[in-house]
Amino acid sequence: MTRVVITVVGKDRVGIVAAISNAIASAGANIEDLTSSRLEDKFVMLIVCDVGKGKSFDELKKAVVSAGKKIEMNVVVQREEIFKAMHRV
Amino acid sequence: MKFASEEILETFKMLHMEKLDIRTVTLGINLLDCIGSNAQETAANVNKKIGEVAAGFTDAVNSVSNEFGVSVTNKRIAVTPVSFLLARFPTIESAVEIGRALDNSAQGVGVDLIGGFTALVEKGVAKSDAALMDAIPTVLSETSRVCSSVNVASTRAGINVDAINIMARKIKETAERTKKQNGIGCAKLIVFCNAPGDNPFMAGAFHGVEEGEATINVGISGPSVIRAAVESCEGSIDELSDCIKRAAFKMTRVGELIGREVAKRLGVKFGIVDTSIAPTTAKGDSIADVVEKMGIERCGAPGTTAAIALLVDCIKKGGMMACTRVGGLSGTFIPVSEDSGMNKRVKEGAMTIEKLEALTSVCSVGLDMICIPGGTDESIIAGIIADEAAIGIVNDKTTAVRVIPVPGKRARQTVDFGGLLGKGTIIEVSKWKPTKFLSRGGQISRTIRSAKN
Repeated sequence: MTRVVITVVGKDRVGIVAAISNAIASAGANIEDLTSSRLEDKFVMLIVCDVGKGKSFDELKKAVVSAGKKIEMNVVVQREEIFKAMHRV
Repeated sequence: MKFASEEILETFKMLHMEKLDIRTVTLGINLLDCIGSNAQETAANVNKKIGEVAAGFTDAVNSVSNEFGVSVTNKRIAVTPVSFLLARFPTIESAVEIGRALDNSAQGVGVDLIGGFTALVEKGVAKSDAALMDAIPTVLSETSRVCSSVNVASTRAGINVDAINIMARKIKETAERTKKQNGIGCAKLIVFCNAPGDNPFMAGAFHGVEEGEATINVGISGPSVIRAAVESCEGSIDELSDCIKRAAFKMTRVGELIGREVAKRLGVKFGIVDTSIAPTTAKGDSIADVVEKMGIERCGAPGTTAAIALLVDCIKKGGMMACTRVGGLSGTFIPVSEDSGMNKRVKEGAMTIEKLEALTSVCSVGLDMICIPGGTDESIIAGIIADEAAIGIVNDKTTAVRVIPVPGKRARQTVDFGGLLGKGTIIEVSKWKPTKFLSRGGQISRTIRSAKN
């Protein structure tokens, strides 16, 4: 199982959650957790999801990044291990 | 959520606003089994082995970088010191032949630099070492990817003054052979004291004979992340220390994660994380900037040595808490031309070569990427190397000299090497020579403090 963290950052607008979650669903990945926040004056959405059995990390990343581009959001897709490494002793 | 929003956002900020990256992933390869009956056969074996071991190297680094969202600035290869490969045919021609093979191999596997055109001569110069040193000007002027280093001193052996005299001459010859490019060959040549065999940073990386068959070593991110940590702290020096340690911990953990994953995919051993922070010419990615953010008016002013000592100590403490396998140089580089902030301070006279020499005692290596007048006498270069080596053997640390006597240039003129090597201001060096002292030759013996058995 590959778990990833998706960070979506940009100007707040209608349809961000819909666009990104649709892309995740189309890549066959399952959202396990979702929250929103703010970074300086920007809207931030944080999603933890499981890539899914037999599905590829690259496909998910491509789908989500391209969905983000269409709504002018900066999207970063990373395997969760980097957060464990940086933030857990 | 499994991770606090603040943690995810901090990672985002570090990666995308403070430019957290991995400075280098370096694949070390043992070439001892490449020794054939002549140089041609050995060169062919070198080509074949590097091609095989490093075949999937750049792809592995790229895919790990993509999955973890961390950019990797450089992918490099370090090999067994070439002087060992020359033992059976110790001639300049053989050394040049193998130097060319390294260059071709690096190009073949898609890396921009390959280190290991190296000799370890701190206690004596074997025939193969002499051949290698004699071949340095040719190899560095006729290849584009090969880096060379020579270890002339160590805590246990003391300082080989004869080797220093040879290397001062080779530095001048290399500058002359590459004078059309402002002596750029010297940017790929380092003279060491206490050179480690697991340093991932160029130009000094080589795969030590004490290392295994193949190893992945990683160099962590640069000053911009530390600068952001320092900027965020207005408190006491104790608080400042904690800020730097926390940032160093996170940077080192990212380095370890990337290194271990690349090693796993290549099926080779993970070696070390080198926690040295290495500046670039990018704005803000400067050790001088970090020092000034700490509260020194100009990098080079009194207080600079203390500030860098504190910086390096905190990076080590944060790094060693993060990762058991911390190695290589693990200090901070203080190059001049590669650090636009430092170069600025040299230009305005705030930073001098004497202060840079003092900083050697608290940083990773020492006099790094320093442009000196093209007419600087060989014996002055030898004296600079000897002084650095003395700091190394007395303080039991790595020190090094990478100076570029820029042909035709005088003090305070500038030179532009382009790209990562940056712009350099020619620094003023003493006109007084140590000729008589160094031409005595011989060995400056090890210190009493080093005799620990």
